[in-house]
Amino acid sequence: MNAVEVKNVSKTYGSRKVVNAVSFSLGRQEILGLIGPNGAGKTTCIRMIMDVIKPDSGEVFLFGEKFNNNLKNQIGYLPEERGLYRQKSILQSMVYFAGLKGIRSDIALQQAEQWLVRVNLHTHKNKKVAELSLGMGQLVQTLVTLLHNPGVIILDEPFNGLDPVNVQLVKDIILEQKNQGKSIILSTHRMNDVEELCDRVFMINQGQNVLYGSLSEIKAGFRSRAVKLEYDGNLPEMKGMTVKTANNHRAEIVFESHLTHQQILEELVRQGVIINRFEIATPSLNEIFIQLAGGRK
Amino acid sequence: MNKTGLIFKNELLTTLRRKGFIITTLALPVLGALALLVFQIVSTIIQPDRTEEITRVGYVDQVGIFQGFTQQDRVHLIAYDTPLAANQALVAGEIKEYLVIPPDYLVTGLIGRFTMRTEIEAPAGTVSAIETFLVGNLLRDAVSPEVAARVFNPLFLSNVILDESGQPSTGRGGLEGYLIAYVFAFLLLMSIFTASGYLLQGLSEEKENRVMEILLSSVSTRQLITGKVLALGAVGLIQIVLWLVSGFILVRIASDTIGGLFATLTFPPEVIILCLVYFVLGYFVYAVLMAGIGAVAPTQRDGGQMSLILTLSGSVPFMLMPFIIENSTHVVTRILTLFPLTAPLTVMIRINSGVPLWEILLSLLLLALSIWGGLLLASKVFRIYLLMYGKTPGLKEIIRSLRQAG
Repeated sequence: MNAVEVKNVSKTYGSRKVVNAVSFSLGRQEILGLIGPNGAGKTTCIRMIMDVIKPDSGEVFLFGEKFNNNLKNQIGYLPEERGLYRQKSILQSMVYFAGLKGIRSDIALQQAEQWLVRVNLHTHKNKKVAELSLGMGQLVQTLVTLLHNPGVIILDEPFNGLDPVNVQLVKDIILEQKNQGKSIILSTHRMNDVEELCDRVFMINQGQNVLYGSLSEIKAGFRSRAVKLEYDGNLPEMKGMTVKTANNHRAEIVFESHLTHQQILEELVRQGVIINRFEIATPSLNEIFIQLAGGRK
Repeated sequence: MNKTGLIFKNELLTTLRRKGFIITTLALPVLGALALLVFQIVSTIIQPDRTEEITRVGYVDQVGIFQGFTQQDRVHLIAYDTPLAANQALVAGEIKEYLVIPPDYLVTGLIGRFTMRTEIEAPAGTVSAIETFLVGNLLRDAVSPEVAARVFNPLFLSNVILDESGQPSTGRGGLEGYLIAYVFAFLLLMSIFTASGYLLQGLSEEKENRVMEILLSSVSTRQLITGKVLALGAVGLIQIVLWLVSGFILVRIASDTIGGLFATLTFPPEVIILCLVYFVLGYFVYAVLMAGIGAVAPTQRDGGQMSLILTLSGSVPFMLMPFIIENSTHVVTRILTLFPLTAPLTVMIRINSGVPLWEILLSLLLLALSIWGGLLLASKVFRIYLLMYGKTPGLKEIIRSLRQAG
C-alpha cells in the first residue's frame, strides 16, 4: 500500500485549470521529487494532498484511506514561505503546532528540546521567532514539520535560506527520516538535490504530468545521441557522426538518428581505435527540466 | 486538549495580551474613575460659601399686603418704608437691589426694580424668588394653606407607559432607565466591534505571515473558525463583564459622592441578562461575517475597509436612537429589532420602553439562524479563499466560487 495515492485529480480556478487529471503515488520509505516551473500547479497538488483544498474531481488516498481529518496528524508540511507566529518563542511555536497535530504538550516539549539540540538551536529556544535569522527560522519550520513524527513529510523548498552546513544537516535529516520508514515529497527547484535525494521524480507543467518515474528510467528516456570516449589512436571520419569535442584522447561524439550507440562502438573498433572508456552521455535532470519546461512554455 | 480547544486557548491568550485590547478594556473604567476623582477634587476646592450666595433684596410695599414669604432659598427680602431708605441701603451695599411695589400694583402688575449691577436681564433665581414672594402674599388670605402650597408645586408627573393591550408596560420609565439602556447599548457596540475586529485582525495576520497554511494542514476549517470565534467571544464577554462590574462599582461610589441621578440608578437583572444574551448572539453574527471577510481579504487593510459596511450597519440603531425611543412600535423600529445586525442594539435601546416578548423571541431566533447560516457560508469562503494571496475577489467572483463549491 502506498503512503500517498493521487488519482486523476483536477482543480480549476475560474476559467483556469490549475491541475488537470494528475495521478501519482508516493511509496513507503520513498522520496519523491515534485518538480515543475513556477505556477505549474505543484502547490495546488500539495494542498490537495493535505485536504486544504478539495479537488474538483479525482481522489487522494493516504495509507489506503480516503483523506479525512484524522489523517491530518499523519502529515508534516513545510511550506515554501515561513509560517510561524512572530511573537511566540521557538519552543512555544513547536509545542503549539505539535499540539495541533495531536501531541501532548509534555511530550512535545521533550521532543522539541531534543530536536533543538540536534540542529544546534537549543540555546535560542526562548527567542522570539521575530528575532531569528532567515536560516534559523527555516530550521525551526523544519522541526515543526517533523516534531509530531508524521508518516508522510511534504517539504516545499526545504533548503531556502540555509547555509551549506545547514543544507547538509537538513539533507542528513531527510535521509534519516526516510531510513526510519517515512515517505517524503520533496518539492524544489534545486535539481542537484533532487538527483541526490530522490528515488523517483514527478514533474508537473501547466497542470499536467510531464514526467514520472525513477531517475534512471527518466534519464534512459532522455538518452541523447551522444557518446563520451577515452581512446588511443586517431578518430576516423564517419558518415552520420560528428566529433563535438576532442582533447587529450577524450572526445564527445554526436550521431544521427539512424545510428545506434552499438553501431558507433563497432565502427570505431573496426577502424582500429582502441577504446579505453565508452559512455553513453545522459542529460542531467536540470537539462531535462529545462528542455521540458522550456519546450512547453 | 482537542484541536478546537488549542485554537481557542491560543487565540484567547494572544488577544488578552494585545496592548490595544488592554488599553481599550481598561480605558473606560479608568476614565470613569478619573472623572469621579476630578469631580471630588473640584467640588472640594470650589465649595461654595452658602452665606455669601444669599442675595439680599430690598422692597418698598406701597400696597400694604406683602409681609410674609420673605425668606426664600437664596433670596432674602427686606422691607423698607420708603424708596429713599431702600436706595440708601443699596448704595451702602446692604442689599443688591430693591423693588418698589406701587399702590396700583394689583391693577397694573407693574413693579420697579432698582440695581447698580450691569445685566442683560434679571437673574432667574432672583426673579423666581420674587414671584414666590408675591404669589404667596397675594394668596395668603384668599385660599387655604394646602391650596397655596399646591400652587407653588402644581405638578409631580407620574408617567405610565401602556402596552398594545392597554396594560401597564413592564418597561422602566424615566431618565434612569434610558441611561442604563444607552450605556448598555454603547458598551455592547464597543465590545462586539472590538472582539470581531480582533478576529478579523488575527485572521489577516495569519494569512499575511503564512501561518494559515500550517494551521489548515493540521485542523479543519470548522475547527479553526469555531476555536477562533469562541475565543474572541470569550474575550468580548470578559471585556463587557469587566465594564459592567466597574460601572456598577463606579455608580455606587458616584451615588455617595455626587448623588442625584446616580443615587437612583439600579441595574435590573433582567436587563443585564438580556444584554449578555444579545451580546453573545450579536457577537457571533458579526464574528462569522468578519471571519468570512478575513478569509477573502488579502491584507489587514483590505479587511478593515471591507468590514466598514458591517460596522456602519451595526451602528444604524445608535444613529436612529431618538427615533427608536419615540417610535417604539413603528415599522422601521420593528425591522431594526428583527434584522440580525441591528437587533442587539435596537433591543437594548428599546428595552426601557418595553419590547413585546414575541419581538424578542423572533429576533433571537433570527439571530441564531443567521449565525448558523453565516457559519456555513464562512466555512465555504474559508476553504476557497483562505490561501489566496494578493488579490481581493469581487462580489461576483465570490458568489461564482461559492456556487462552484456547491
